[in-house]
Amino acid sequence: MIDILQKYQRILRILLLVGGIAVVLFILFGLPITLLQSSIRLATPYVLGALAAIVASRAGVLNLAIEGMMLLGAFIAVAVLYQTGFDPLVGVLAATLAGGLLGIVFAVLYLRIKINLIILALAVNLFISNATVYFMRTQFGAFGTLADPSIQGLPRIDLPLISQIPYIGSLISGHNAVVYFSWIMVAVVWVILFRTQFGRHLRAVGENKAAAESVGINITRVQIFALTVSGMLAGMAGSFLSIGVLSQFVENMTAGRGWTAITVALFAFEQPIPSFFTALFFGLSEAMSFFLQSRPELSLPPDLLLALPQIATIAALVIVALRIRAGELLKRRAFATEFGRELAKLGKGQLVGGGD
Amino acid sequence: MTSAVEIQHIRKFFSSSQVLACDDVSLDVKKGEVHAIVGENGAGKTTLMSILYGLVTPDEGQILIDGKPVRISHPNDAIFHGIGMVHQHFKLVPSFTIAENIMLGIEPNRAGFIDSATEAEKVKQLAESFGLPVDPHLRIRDISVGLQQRVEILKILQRNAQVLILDEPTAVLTPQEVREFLTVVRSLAQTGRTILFITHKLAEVKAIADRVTIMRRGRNVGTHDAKDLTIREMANLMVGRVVSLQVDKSPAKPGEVILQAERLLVAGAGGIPAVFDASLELRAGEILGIAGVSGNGQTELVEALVGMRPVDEGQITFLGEDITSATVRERRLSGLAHVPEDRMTTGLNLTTNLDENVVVTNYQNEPYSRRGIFQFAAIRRLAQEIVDRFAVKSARVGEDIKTLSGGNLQKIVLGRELKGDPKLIIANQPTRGLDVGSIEFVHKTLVEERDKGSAVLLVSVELDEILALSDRIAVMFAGRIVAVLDRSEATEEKLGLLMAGSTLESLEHDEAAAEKATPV
Repeated sequence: MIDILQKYQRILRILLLVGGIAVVLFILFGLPITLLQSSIRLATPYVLGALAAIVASRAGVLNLAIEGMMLLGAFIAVAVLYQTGFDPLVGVLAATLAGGLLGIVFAVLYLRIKINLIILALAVNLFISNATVYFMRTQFGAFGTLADPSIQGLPRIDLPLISQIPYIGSLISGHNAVVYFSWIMVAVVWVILFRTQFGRHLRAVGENKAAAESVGINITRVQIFALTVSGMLAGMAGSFLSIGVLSQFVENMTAGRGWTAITVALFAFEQPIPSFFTALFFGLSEAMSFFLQSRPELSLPPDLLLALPQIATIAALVIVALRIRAGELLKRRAFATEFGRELAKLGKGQLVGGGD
Repeated sequence: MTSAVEIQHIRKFFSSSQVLACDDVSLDVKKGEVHAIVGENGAGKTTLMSILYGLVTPDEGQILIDGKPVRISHPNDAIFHGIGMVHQHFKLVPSFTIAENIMLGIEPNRAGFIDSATEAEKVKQLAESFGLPVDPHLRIRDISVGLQQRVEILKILQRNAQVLILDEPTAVLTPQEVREFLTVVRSLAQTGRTILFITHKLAEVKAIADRVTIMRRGRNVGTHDAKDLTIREMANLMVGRVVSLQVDKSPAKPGEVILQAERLLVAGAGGIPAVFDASLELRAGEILGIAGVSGNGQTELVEALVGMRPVDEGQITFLGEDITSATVRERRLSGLAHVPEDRMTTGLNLTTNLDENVVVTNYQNEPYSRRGIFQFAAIRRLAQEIVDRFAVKSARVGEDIKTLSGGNLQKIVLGRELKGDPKLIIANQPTRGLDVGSIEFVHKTLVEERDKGSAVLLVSVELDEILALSDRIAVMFAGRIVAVLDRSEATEEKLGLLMAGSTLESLEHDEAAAEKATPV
């Protein structure tokens, strides 16, 4: 396998490139434009969630509570708008702040009280999952779904000029504010991580705490900040789920999207820009699931269609694992070739020992 | 000459471990000198330097810098007062470039945005001004350990350190890198900087230091001009009694072949071959030393030989039988003993007591178990026997061992492993971190076992140890055994070059070059 890979590396690379372009062209022109629009829209929680995972992980804390933070954001956004008549953007802001607050609590429990990270994340996820259901029932008397005419969804924004461009315009224009904000955040996170002093300190903390500490960087402060930002991004992702698509809150409506967002970040090597494109792919798989369900004439099994995003997640995780394994094999092969050359010079392997 | 640093009556008691690490230590370091601090492990030298660098707060005493008393409670204070420290384990970020590491925390920036061009330029200038050229754009993970150390030194120089504390700086370097490093230290001292360096390699003290302070059991037992003391005198002062640096041993009488490894390929962490095409042969009654800079496959080779790591290719024959895929227990039962590299985690279980630790390799056999039931009387007798035979101080049958010193722990490991006269003893870094007295004991024990007819495979990164004990010496580099020499044909210089990647052929072909490299 590896032999084949190495021998035909060039050809394989060209084939992959051609194949990739073909897939992109097919997606862009072969699929209905409404499907692509909803793909882009549905990618938003993955974009924001992956950024949340990246910011925390780059600072050396694996944030496994993104699911819970997202769910909290989704609930708070709806709770704030319920019969208050606020602008939906107030809901987004509240969700973002709530996520950030949970991020701070998480950071303090982990960094100051030193609770085990995994246990803490499990506790946060379970707590939010149950607390949202509890408050939904006691405060709003709603069971399963919290919907009300007073809860307004985020309005569509038509971008001036861009909406005039044929085809591209209809893809890019006409989404809501959170979608556009998530795109801006991709660039902002990239700039902060790789171009600012703070971002460099954050990455240093994530990669070698001792090195950062030895030059006087306050590790705890950096990590608390990173977890807070991570929580804010996750909270905003949650608000998109509840008021960006449907304007209602449903029990456990994140449905594993927080976990998928972590997968997205892993798949993209914790890089913001590749994460954005990976997230688009997950958006596509989700949109595809809805799209195919609305086509009974295709007679595809409905259970399989529902599972499409989950299948995509598992496939991505398998690829992440295989990639690590392939990296090991390639390194091993490189080592072997390097020393094989020297060995050939020595003739037979040097036999150590023996009186002869 | 004026004093750069004065340490006065420092006392530090660690209540958690009940250790008086520094007991009324005073030290006067002159400006521009190279001052070595030597002492056995646990003599308090690292604690003293940690106090100076603000990592540890002393109970009593004060520190004067350039004659003025200062309070150093955090490394930032130390940096502010011009004190920098290069730790034994480098504190570098692997994915960052050299420039990014040197400037970490003090990046040139505009409103928080880093100015990379200025940064690289600054590092280049700094490096050139000290005659330590580096390419600022290389990443730490791609450069050698010697170069990483240079980056660490530049990092503290960039912060205007006038006093440089170096903690065992040569432990990870090849002999050639050591020589280069010593030149660097000299030239830094000539720029008026003060160098304080902790070491236990007395030859380096003679080679480089102006003055040497010897510490023993938390006390300063004397500061001398380095040229006034011989290595032997220093060693005696360190231990507080006369030690023999030479190991007395008669010539080896090799017997039949005990262990044969043929063309082993062993994967290390991450699937990279750690041992590549290594073959060796070991006979009864001889000590084969494996020399090499740490991390060149020695650990993986040992693990493969004892059965803790699978062999990918090749064959291991022990006493005429193929044991390539035998389990650890099968190998042990047929007479293989293993003194592991890390006695704290692999060698012993510090969370349990002495008895369980000594019986762990043999618990399933009579007389320690009968029909699946432990025979505690027999186990206690075994523990007592080991304590008596090896004089393990302060170890008691049935009691915990976690408070024992490194030397005593190693005695327990040796006692357990040598019980039952093994045919083959594989000792990986058996004296790492031990004090001079314990090292002497371990060496004597290994030679005794050899004389009784055991085969001994000794892996060590200390060339002195390899040269003192081995009958034959194999050198490992980048996973391969690059050469095997008879003790009589091995010199420190030759081994050093082999450890750094030269081949025997190139050494022979290029004798002129070898001549030049020979120390004066």
